[in-house]
Amino acid sequence: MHGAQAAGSALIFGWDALWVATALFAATYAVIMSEKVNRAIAALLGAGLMILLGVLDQEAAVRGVDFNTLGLLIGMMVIVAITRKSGVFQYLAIWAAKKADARPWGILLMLAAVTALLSALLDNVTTVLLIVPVTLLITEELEVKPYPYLFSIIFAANIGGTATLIGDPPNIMIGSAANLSFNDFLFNLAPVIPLIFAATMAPIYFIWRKEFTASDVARQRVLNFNAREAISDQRLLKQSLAVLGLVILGFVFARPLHLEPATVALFGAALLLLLENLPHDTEQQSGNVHGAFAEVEWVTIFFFVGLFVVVYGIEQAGLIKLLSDQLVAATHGDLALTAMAILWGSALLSGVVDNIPFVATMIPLIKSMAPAFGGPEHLTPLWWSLALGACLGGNGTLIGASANLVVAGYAERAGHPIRFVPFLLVALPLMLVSIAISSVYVYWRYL
Amino acid sequence: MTAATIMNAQPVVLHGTDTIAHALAALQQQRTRSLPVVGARKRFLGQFGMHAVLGLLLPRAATLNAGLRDLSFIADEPEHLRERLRHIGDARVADHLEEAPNMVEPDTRLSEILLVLYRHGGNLAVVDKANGELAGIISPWDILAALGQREQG
Repeated sequence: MHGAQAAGSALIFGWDALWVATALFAATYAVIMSEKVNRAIAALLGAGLMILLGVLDQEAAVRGVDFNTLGLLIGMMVIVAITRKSGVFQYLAIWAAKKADARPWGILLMLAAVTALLSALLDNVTTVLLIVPVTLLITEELEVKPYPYLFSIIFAANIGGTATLIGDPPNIMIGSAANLSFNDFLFNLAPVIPLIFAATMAPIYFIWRKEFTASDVARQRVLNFNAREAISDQRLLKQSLAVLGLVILGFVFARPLHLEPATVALFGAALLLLLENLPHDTEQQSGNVHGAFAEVEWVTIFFFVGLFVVVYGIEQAGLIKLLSDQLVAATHGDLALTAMAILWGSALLSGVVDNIPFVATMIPLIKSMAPAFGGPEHLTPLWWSLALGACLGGNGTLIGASANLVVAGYAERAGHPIRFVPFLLVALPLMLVSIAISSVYVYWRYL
Repeated sequence: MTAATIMNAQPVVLHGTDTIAHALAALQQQRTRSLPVVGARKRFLGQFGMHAVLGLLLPRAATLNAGLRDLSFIADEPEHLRERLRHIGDARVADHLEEAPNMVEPDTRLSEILLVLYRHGGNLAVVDKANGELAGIISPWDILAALGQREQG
């Protein structure tokens, strides 16, 4: 008996739940990949049809939604939306450029390092939104081509985002589903990140080393930037950094405190909203709160809602179990082989399909392998393989991750378009190097 | 009252091949913020104005959608800006037209004209949709003048 029947729903025309769910899943993903329809619309339509056609009832569909992931995403988006108004991210980018004595290669390295660090603490799309405009300004003032800088920012964002629970949406989803904490990610994924970062930056230097020259006059213009002036609101800066610090501490101590990451992030968001708005009258408060909520990427949130329901539909219908049995059979139940298959498969697929729906599908698939590997506690290498593959794999192509598309959009508008094939020719080998390093790391540490 | 009855049918125009230096001189002489740009046979190409000039003087990162919101950290360097102004002087106006020019058709009625001017400011180009020709321009002063005439009449 399929799970759909267990969920209490009634399939129309007596169709087979497995086939209906599989067809809906395939159609939803095909529409998402075609990019002809907004991905949130596609996912929500797929979710709606899962209910209307009787694969799930509404109660089951709501059970499929991971509110911990949604809460964490929304909370962090609100915190960043308020924090950015203080000008701190602009300050950091300018500080980094000046710290490098306005030398082009030094600036590239420093901006990449700042991007990687911020991506680990915030989400990587937000990070590039904050860093790319300053990068374009700096390269314009230096009179150098922005391409190598934007390229390295894409890589740094995806590499840095891999390091923590909150750095990249796939990690948020994996952490929530597998009950892996902020510290679990920090202790298991962060150690390999500096190595991957270095292994990526070195080739970037050799590929574009001739571009890293600037006149003394141009460098002086950058050195004349006053980073302190970038801070537009000292009070908000202090409040934001204090709350951000508390939230990070909250993530670190979430497990002993029996708190979920979503609770920490949403409470942090509420606290920062309170601190920001206390001195203002209710009308101003209303405007500020409206502004902060408007900066939440609701398209992404609703995309997640739809996806969770669609994936829950195929899980309940039995497709995930079927696929999981096939994968275990293909790897003969060998944990090392399965981990490598997940790592490399995730990396290669994340280059061509959105890694969020991919990870949403892989999570129940890996969960259902637990009996084959002796219980959920033995799945850890598979979770880290999925996280490394899905996050780093996004570097392989221009469409591999949301951050890549955001940077490409800025580059296009600034008159320096990043083309798919030239990007691929450099990015794919670099991504494969990062996956090779990850393979050695996973094998050495867990297998 | 329609656009055709209010407009200035003999406006000063720029040509797509004019340089920005020439356009700046024309804007200054006419004491206006923007002028219509036409191609062959008076075909309306768009509008060019001070907004585009200011944008060209600013760093590109500041004029992008979702770009920099604050430039207070940049030191004032007038000589650098003068150099930039000299540099853009040779560019063609056709390459720097306003992205969404304010346009109405000759038979557009007064209330709609008022609304477009209220929302977007600047001058309105009156364009014949059938052949794409510039028929004239309307400034807020043209409307006040037209209303004054009606009251007197």
